[in-house]
Amino acid sequence: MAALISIAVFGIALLYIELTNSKKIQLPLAVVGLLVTLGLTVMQWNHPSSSFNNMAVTDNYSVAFNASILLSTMFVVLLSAYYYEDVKQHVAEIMALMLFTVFGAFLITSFSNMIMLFLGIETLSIPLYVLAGSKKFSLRSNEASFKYFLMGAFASAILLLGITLVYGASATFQLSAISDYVNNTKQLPGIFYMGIILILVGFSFKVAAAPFHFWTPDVYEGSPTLITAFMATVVKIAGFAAFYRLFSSAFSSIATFWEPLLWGMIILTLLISNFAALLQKGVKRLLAYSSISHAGFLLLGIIALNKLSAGGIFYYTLAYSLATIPAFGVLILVKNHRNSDDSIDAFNGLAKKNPLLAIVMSVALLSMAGIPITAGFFAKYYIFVAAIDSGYILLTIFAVLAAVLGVFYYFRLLNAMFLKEGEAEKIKIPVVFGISLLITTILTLAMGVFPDYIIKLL
Amino acid sequence: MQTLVISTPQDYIPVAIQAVVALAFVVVVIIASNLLGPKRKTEEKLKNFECGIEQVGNARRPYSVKYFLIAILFVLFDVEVIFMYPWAVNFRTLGAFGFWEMMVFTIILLAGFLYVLLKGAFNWQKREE
Amino acid sequence: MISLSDITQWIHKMLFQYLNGTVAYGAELVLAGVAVIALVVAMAIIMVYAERKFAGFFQMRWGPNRVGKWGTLQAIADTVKLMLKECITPNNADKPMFKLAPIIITVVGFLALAPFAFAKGIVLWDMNIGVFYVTAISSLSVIGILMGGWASNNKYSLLGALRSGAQIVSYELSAGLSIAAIIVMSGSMSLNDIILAQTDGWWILRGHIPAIIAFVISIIASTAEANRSPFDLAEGEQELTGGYHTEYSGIQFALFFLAEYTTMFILAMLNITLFLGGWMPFHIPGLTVFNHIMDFIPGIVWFFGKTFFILFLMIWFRWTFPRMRIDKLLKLEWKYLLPISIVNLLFAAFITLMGWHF
Repeated sequence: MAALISIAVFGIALLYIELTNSKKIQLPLAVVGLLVTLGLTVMQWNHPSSSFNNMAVTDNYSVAFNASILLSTMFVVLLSAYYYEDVKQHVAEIMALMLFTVFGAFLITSFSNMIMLFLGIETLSIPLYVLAGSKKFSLRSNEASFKYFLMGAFASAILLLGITLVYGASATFQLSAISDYVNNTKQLPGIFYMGIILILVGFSFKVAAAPFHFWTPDVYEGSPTLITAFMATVVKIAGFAAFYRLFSSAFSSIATFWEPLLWGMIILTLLISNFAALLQKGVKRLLAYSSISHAGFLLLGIIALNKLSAGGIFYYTLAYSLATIPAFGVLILVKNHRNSDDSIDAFNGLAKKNPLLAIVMSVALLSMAGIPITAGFFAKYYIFVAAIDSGYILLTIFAVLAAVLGVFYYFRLLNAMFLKEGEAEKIKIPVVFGISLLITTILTLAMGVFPDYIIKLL
Repeated sequence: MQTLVISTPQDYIPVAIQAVVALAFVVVVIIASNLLGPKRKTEEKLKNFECGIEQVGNARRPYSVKYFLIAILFVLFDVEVIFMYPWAVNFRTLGAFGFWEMMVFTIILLAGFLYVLLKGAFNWQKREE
Repeated sequence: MISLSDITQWIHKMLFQYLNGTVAYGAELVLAGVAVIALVVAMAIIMVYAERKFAGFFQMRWGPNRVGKWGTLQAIADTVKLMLKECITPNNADKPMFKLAPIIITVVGFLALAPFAFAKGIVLWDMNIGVFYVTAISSLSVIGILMGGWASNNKYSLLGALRSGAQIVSYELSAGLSIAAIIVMSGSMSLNDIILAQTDGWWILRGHIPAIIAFVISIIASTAEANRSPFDLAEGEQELTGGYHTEYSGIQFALFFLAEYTTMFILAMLNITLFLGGWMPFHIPGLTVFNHIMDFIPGIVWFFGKTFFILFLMIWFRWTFPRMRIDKLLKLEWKYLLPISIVNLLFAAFITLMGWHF
């Protein structure tokens, strides 16, 4: 509750900063706001509480996810100092919108009532539609914003219809009451099943899982790169936190109904994303498909539905965010340097003149591919262990194969950076930017070496 | 103390009948006028009026985005105003608690209003860059 | 003395004597509906005449003086003339919408009359959400205006409709807030209850400062919502020929005209109900004799007297203030009236909370 108020107040403060045109304090204010909120969030660790007439519950699960959302946002905000260096207006507004997105994310990591879920998803999505179009005079950005808005609106509507149908059957929005209803009813009505399907579809839209992933590549490519990094990390963390929270509490008793659906979706997601990523020429689009494939792996944690999944999903989302942010960060630098050319060829020979950038990028890519001593390895490991524990051996074998396939396209980029020749020059790394890249890289490696500290949290 | 009045669909019959009567009046008047009035249609007469000159282009053209802004802001504020109605009715029973709650609500509302104001949403002249 | 409620009671008895319950009830409602429409049409005709006479007075000329004694039949002659005119629908117009617009705007005007209490016990539909109903229904008229303006496919119409839409919609905010100030004081949304709450004195006197501020804002907002001068730039003849009803002729134009006067009438009635006690006579608590003398004047006289006073104010405004420009008009609402009325609502709540009203 305190964290929610703090993030909202800092967001509004940033909006007012925009009006005074004092560019110097926007970034510090945003960072301070995030740190204060982080402090308030962490203070709630092991102190579960409920707010809004028991509509939102703050427990360790939500605190962990909120903290990782705040960390990711902070790294993205740090990158923004350089990214928006030449932009005269609206920078504080963009940060404020990010904070409002985080506000929505907080709601959906800690909801215990479907109304709160819907409110949170809307509060999360609406600033994102604007953020996707924040490069006002770029046609691609406008297109991305519009596509995202239409798709997001449809997804929200479908989700809301699902919630309504579930309410129609169970006459309650409260998760625990829905769970009781499922346990105590012999013959569940058809609309309840329909509701679950629609909620599943709505969530798949939001977290970009196949077959509802079509908006992702276009939106990720069109949006400003920084915003893409934000969407790929924060939204994904929040989306999966909410996804797991809902399906593990309210609908866990009828897992036999929705697990086959999810099974099919995982197979489809892993197939489509990994094969499509192999064919991509642009790095941004490649990362978009890679993000879809990560959604596929994360769904494994949800389908597993045992005591390992919460920790697995948390570890995975954190590791994935810590890898994605530096990857996009390096992409921003390279892209700016090469006149907004973001093809793989733009990375040719990067290691010669810019070893630091190349190393940061390699660690990020290796983590995404799931190579040991990076966080990505244990992320995949825990998810697979959780899935095997619940008996999804075939699915896990398939996912391992998909992960191997993933290694191919990540190595194409590594190959370009280290083995190919290119006319690379020295790229100047701004200080704040460098800090963000370094911290995320170090954290990725640290999480890969000492995974226990993170996985034991949940 | 207030008595709880629960309205039923039957309570709305007067309005339904009034709607029917009003509609009937309008339709009857229009039909009567159509029967009474002359009908001499020429091509010139059926053209759009444009101060006597030949019509230029189409009227389906873009207009100032400011009107959209006003419409959006209206929706935002009207929702807040409508929210105040039930509060106003129950104000006496809510007492001081209701007053301070509304104070907080209004401060947030006015903060948003101030932002819109400072952002220049109500300046209809071209902004000097 | 025969009061209006005696007449209605007599009709009620007659109906229920000769017809069975449901039919009588229905017939009664139909009669009431017809009566209300007749009232509005009569009011509109009187208002047109009064407006033109007053215009003549303000501009030191005669005004209508040819048809009937002192030109009294002028408005009726105009109505008959409009009835006999041809209705033209331009070729380029969006025909269904073009024809629907005047119907919508007129029906909406009639509908908004339902919850008003004209005199003690004379109310077509006493509902607990009366004020809310009036504001909700009368704000629908903007749809008719936008429909008409857009469907005409005429640049003047479109501009007029847009201006009018922006204006009505904007002023609705402060009008709604000043109404809320009175709801806070009387604690009910039923127009009848609000009037009964003013037995000891009208709200504008009992509620002193916040009520007076709310009244002034409400009168300004009503003038704007009725598209009256100085806020009549939606149909500013000099620049937009006729605004949103440029393309309308004959009876369709007459319906728009009627709707405008209906809106004026409704807003005047709403204002007097909220601030000036509706049909409630002027009472001063304690002065029993005075109050009894006041009670001797029937409620219906009070009601229409006050209504005509507000309508006269609106006519007076028209010939006193020059027309505003669209940006200044919207600036007046958004920059001044809206914040003032929000703060005023809180002020009214505070006064009510402390019991500082009389």
